[in-house]
Amino acid sequence: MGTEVYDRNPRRLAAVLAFVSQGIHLWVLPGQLAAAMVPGIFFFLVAVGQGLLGASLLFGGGRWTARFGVLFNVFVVLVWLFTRAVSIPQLFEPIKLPVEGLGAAATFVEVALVVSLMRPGRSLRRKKRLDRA
Amino acid sequence: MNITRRHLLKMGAMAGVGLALPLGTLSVPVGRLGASALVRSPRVEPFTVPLPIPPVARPVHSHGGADHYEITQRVARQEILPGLKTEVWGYDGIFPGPTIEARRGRQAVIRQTNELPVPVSVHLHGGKTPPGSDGYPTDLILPNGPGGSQTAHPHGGHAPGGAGHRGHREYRYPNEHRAAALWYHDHRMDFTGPQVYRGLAGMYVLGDEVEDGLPLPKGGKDVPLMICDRTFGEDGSFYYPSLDPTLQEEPGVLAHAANGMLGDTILVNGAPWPQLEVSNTMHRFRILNASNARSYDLVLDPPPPGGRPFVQVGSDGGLLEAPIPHTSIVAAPAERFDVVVDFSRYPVGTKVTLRNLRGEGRTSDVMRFVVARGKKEEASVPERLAPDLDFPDPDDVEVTRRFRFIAGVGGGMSAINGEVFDPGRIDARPRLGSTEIWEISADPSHPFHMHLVHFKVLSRDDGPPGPYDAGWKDTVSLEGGSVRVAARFEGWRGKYVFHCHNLEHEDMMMMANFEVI
Repeated sequence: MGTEVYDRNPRRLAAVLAFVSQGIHLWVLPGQLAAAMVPGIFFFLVAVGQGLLGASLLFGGGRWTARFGVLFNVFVVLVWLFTRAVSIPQLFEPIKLPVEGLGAAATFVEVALVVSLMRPGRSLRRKKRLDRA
Repeated sequence: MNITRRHLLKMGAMAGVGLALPLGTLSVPVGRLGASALVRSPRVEPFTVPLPIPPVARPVHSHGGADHYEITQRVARQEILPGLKTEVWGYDGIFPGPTIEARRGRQAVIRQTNELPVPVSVHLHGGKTPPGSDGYPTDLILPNGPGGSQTAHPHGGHAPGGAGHRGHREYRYPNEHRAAALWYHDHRMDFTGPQVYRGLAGMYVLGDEVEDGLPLPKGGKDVPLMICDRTFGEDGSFYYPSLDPTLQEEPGVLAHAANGMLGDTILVNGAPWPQLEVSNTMHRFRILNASNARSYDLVLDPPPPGGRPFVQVGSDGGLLEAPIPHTSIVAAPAERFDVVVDFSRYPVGTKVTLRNLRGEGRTSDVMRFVVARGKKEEASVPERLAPDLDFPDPDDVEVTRRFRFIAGVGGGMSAINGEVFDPGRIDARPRLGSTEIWEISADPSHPFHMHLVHFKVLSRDDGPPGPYDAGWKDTVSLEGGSVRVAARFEGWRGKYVFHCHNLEHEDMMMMANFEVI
């Protein structure tokens, strides 16, 4: 299959990580959305994105899937860092969010996901260079 | 492109895991929000219930220049809507609580016993009170029984802090300031909104010789009107959209009520759209907006010939220097307006409805007066009400401070100068005896309230004060824009709060500390 560019194991690992991140966001979604719309909607969109990413990777994600996964998860991690560094209490509850366990765990998973998506890409480019040589 | 079995599986997985699962999870909070927003109170025929007058609390003993009261906060069942029982959390088990009639110069000592399942704190709103009796949000009376510990999960990750009294404590009110219509209500950290909503509020009328000497309506013609709004469940229970209805753990409300809980039933002195029969004489009404978040623009319908039916004689801090006639009274939460209405301007038999121009549907009615009988007039409104009110001299101002109130969006925290409440942070340290100007700006609308001090509104939106800013105030309404107030920090050193009196905003941390040093 032309778009299937990664080895199976890293791809499955990335899919599992995406599903773990999705699960964490789905776990906190009901409480968050009931109390505060902006974080709740954000958690919903992250859960959708991670679910689509994980399902796509499980069935052979291609280069664009990997690019989407990297950019999406970098964005999610940056939002997490931003909301802990900057005070916007009117949008993000509560002010300067404490580094709560689930949030930190989700961020760790998302960083691992980014790494797992980037490594096959590098190996693919190396393989292509060797093929051309 | 050939559609393979693998393609189908992939599309199915993406649709299921990527869309259906999150949407399914989303349905839980969306359903909760939707159901909450759709709650409607049982139908009540307006103007069928007589206006109740809260009983006056009697001192259990008086000595040494002090009157001692005992009030027990407890759960009780009360008929608010005809034919239904409502569980109230009341001072002495009633809603509104008993009215305390105090006298200037006589200390009131109130022993508050907490038999509720949650911590409480009692604030005398408008009282110039020592810090230990001011009802600081974390200065709690803990329940005697299990539950209601001081360890509820506070907003913003701050520690609850503060003192904790188990079961009961005494509040001492010196009553050294001018006669005024004050009120007392719960002030528990993070949970003031739901606890006031369940009934923890009562009037506190302070009298003095100056007021006694005026020919204003007295006795049965001096009527407290505690106006508030509530929503009821089908069984008559108060409906309040708490995240945690036990009020034990998680503070806050469902996102749709984060900008203020607006009830669909208007109560006056705890009765829905009541009716009061009056003689065709002057009546004095101590109007208190005890709503959590609703503002009122009160008018009389029909207006009397010549208009301007309300003659304002007092504000939050007591009598004005001179009466002010109004066509309507705009009252933000916690504001008080002391007004005289002359029913001799109506023929006997007229039904006069107190309406709220800011209401919609059922909430546009408040109560009805029926001019039921003729009677000889014994009262009048003199041109001069109170001696010089001794407002602060702007030349004495030591410091000008600026505070910006910004409400949260869709459930986010509300903040003052970008900061949410932290009991450990002091945002202003005025010197005892000093005068300061505070410039308050707000977006969108917030009733600004200061503990301990009364203030004079100097300007509104860089222009003159508004028509409802007269006299000494402790709460002033901001509807966008800004006000400048002059406050004299007298009485006691110590830590007090100032905050938005939209109680949902207050619980969402729109509060800050000042410490008089």
